[in-house]
Amino acid sequence: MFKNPLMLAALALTGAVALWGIVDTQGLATFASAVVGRMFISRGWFIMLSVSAMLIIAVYLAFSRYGRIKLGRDDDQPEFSTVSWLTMLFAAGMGVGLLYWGAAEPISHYLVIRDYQIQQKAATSALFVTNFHWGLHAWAIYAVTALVIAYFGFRKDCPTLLSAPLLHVFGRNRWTRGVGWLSDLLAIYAIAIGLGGSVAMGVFQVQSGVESLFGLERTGLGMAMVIFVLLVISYILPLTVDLSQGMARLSNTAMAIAGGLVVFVLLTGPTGFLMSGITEAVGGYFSGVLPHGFRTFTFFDERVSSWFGSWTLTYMVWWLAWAPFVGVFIARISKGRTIREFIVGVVLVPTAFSILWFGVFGGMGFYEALRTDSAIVEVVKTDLDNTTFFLLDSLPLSVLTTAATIVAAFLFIITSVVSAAWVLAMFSTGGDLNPSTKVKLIWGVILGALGLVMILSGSIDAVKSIIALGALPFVFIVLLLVVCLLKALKKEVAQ
Amino acid sequence: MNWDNVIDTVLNVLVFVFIGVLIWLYFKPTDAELEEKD
Repeated sequence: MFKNPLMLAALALTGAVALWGIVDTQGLATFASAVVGRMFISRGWFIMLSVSAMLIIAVYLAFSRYGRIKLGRDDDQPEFSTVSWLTMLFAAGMGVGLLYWGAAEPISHYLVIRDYQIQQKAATSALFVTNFHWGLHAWAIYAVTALVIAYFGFRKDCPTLLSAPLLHVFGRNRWTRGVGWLSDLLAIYAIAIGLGGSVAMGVFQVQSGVESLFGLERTGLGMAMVIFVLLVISYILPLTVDLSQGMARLSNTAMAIAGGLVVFVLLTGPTGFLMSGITEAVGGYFSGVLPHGFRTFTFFDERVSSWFGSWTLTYMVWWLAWAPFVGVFIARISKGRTIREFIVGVVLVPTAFSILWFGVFGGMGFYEALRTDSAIVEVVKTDLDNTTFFLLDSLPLSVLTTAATIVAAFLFIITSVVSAAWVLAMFSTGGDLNPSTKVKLIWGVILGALGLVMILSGSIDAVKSIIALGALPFVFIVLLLVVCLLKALKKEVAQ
Repeated sequence: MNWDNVIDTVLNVLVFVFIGVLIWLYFKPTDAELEEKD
């Protein structure tokens, strides 16, 4: 295992970042913010252009003659029924992030936008921007990456590695081997850093829920560490045994809880208000989503530029960081589907669900902020982690819904870390679909250490910057993979 | 000289080069395609 140079380099790189973060947390956070800020100022246009291009390419592939090509052999049939496939896609997209940001994100945008637009329009725009972050562009990044992995894996019998398309299309030579190796290394690095951030966000969310449930005042680092240790114990065990069925069950349970929560809030909250908000959000989203993909807010002041960098650009690179990890999962469950079916399912269905989710939680937040004398705006300003629980407190059965949210957040993190450790072990052992327990455990520990670093940073903004730092190189790699896919498809159709 | 501008220009030129390389790679025949033609 330790003779594998990729494994060694990946362990050294991610281990070094984890160590740096533990020794000098603030130093790492400051460095990440400075580099990411610099890159966003000079290359923000390129990031927006790239993600818009990915959406356009996804639509083109779905509706062009390539749409009929199967992800697998021509006689392969889909492994899962369309309904279970779509449910699993929901699960991939429904992470702890949605639980965390449901109401917090639209209101955070609203606090900036209301200084530039009238209040009523500002709420609509805040929902629109949130839907933009979690909608078609995000899923197009996932879809295109997953498509590359599925096409080359199932149709061309390549190993499940990001270097495989490059070597397949351009042949084995010095540059493809070098760039391919670097792509595999950076994919591992981006997944590890991204998952570390997700662990931290989940711990902050669970901590806030526990405080809310037991009426505790701010419990600080001590409680965060207790939750973190519990979490590590909970995911180390599944890494040592093959629990793929059990993991699927845990993931489905978390999904069912999240689905139940959204229905509960919709029905026990101001249903008419929420449905009106969702209707407005759907119309606004589909009429403005494409032009918004090209917006860079260049001619606005410093505050808007900084808001754009710390939200829109950070989200886009965040999706890029998660793309290899989610991409492998989506590819695995999509064998036997045509490119058209695949893109329509992966891009449209989760986007619709995200719009519903933010319409309900964000709409509920706006109802509290605009129609009642609730302190939700203050909560978002001073105690962001607590937003979801504060909102649930205003509805009936809040003890039950708070406990359910804590359980769902915990389950989402466990399933994410277990799957990520598997994908990392697979990538770092040359595409081995059954990596050894030892390798999975090593990655489990590294993911834990990275999570710890982000928890120690104590700030969600620092977490976002550190994730963006890991993901930035990925913009280039994904585009290179897209070229490989387009070339391979062109060749296949020509034959 | 404003170093911020210099860094900005260098980073953006690198991006232009990358875009150029992508376009070139898309149209460049691969070794296998060249062999097939021969």
